[in-house]
Amino acid sequence: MKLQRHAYKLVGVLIILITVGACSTPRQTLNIRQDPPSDIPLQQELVSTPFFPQEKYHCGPAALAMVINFRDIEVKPDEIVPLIYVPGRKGSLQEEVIAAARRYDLLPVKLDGELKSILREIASGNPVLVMQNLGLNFYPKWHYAVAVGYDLSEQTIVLRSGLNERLVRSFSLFERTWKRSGYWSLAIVPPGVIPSTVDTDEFLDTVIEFEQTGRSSPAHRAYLSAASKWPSSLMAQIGIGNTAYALGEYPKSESAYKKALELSPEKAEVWNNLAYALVKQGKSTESLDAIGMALQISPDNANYLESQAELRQWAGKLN
Amino acid sequence: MSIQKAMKSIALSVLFAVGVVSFSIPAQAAMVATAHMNGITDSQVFGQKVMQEKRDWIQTQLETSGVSRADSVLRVSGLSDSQVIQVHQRMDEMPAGGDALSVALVVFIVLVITDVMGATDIFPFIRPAPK
Repeated sequence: MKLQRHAYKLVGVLIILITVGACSTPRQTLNIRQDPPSDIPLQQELVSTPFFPQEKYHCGPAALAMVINFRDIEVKPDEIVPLIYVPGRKGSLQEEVIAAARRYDLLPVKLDGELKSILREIASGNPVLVMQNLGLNFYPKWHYAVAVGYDLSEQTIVLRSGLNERLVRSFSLFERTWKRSGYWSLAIVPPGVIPSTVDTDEFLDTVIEFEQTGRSSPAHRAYLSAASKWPSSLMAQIGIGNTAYALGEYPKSESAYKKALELSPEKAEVWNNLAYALVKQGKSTESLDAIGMALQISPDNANYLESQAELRQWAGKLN
Repeated sequence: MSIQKAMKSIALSVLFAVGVVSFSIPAQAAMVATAHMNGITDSQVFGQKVMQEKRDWIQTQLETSGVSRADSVLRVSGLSDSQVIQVHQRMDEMPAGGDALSVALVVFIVLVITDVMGATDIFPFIRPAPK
């Protein structure tokens, strides 16, 4: 009996402690209130974002299906379940959500964790997949939702969440639950689109992983859009060259490597790859010149020596 | 007759394909991947063998968590090297987003109160008191 009373007291103290934290306005919300972003409309909502109510434990597949269908790719949450759901965990891991998006030839671009960035992405037409902990740090309830709208005058965000097609939450409540996931937020875009809030390196890192997992053709398109937005990006040109090569488009590959070498003439790896793009077109003399350049920059490099031997052999066959 | 013809054309195209393959460049072994030009990659740090072991480990974990073998093989193949490192390092601590509405009764009351106070957001029908 006495013990029970102590337990009640403990619970009471706990609630007070938790709610004291909830009473202060969280940092990012405060920042938006004091310094609202002036480059976006006061209010925006991507009403065409489809909604799939989640089945038990399946908020991941439901949320992912919404952002994929938004890009006119038809897929049902049930089809995504075998790609991301972990029955033993009664949920889906973030890294698998990212990997699954790639299977639909969409680029999963991680955002910087600023609430303002979510608003800016919505304003530029990109719904944002977010992870929240709707419970508490020591009693987590991990949840995926899609942010589709906001209202700066009301200080609210609009979510497609769980069974709710249009859940309106104050910035401060959203920020508290979102903060517990480490502000995890993902824009999932087609390869020709670059999320408005990401910088060159972040975007290209995403595209490189995209290429690495075998999506050469959409990766090629993504590199092309990166190169037109950031013309001085060396990695964008290299990416164009390597993906064009993988797709068998050697003249395109050659011209991208040459642009890369204009930006960075000492990049021996590019000379090496250029040599391959040239020999594939039957330009054996130029090819051997190119691999010669690579070896001039880094003599004794085993990879380039191997390339040279291979290219000589092949050039011999050509002549 | 028509089957024979089909067989013949299949055989011819196979021969042709083999011919084309053997005439092309042996391998792209010496091409440098984009990831490798972007800095030191995980596979360079750990080596291919260790990376494969990590992938195998994740696949086993998925299978023991109830994912079918075919699905887990497919899923692991879709992870990039850096994702493999991350998942391998801390798969058990990684949050798995699932369902908010499965709460034990004891905790229910606490969460209703914390929801009202705006610390949690378990029950969508509860809007925290305005401040």
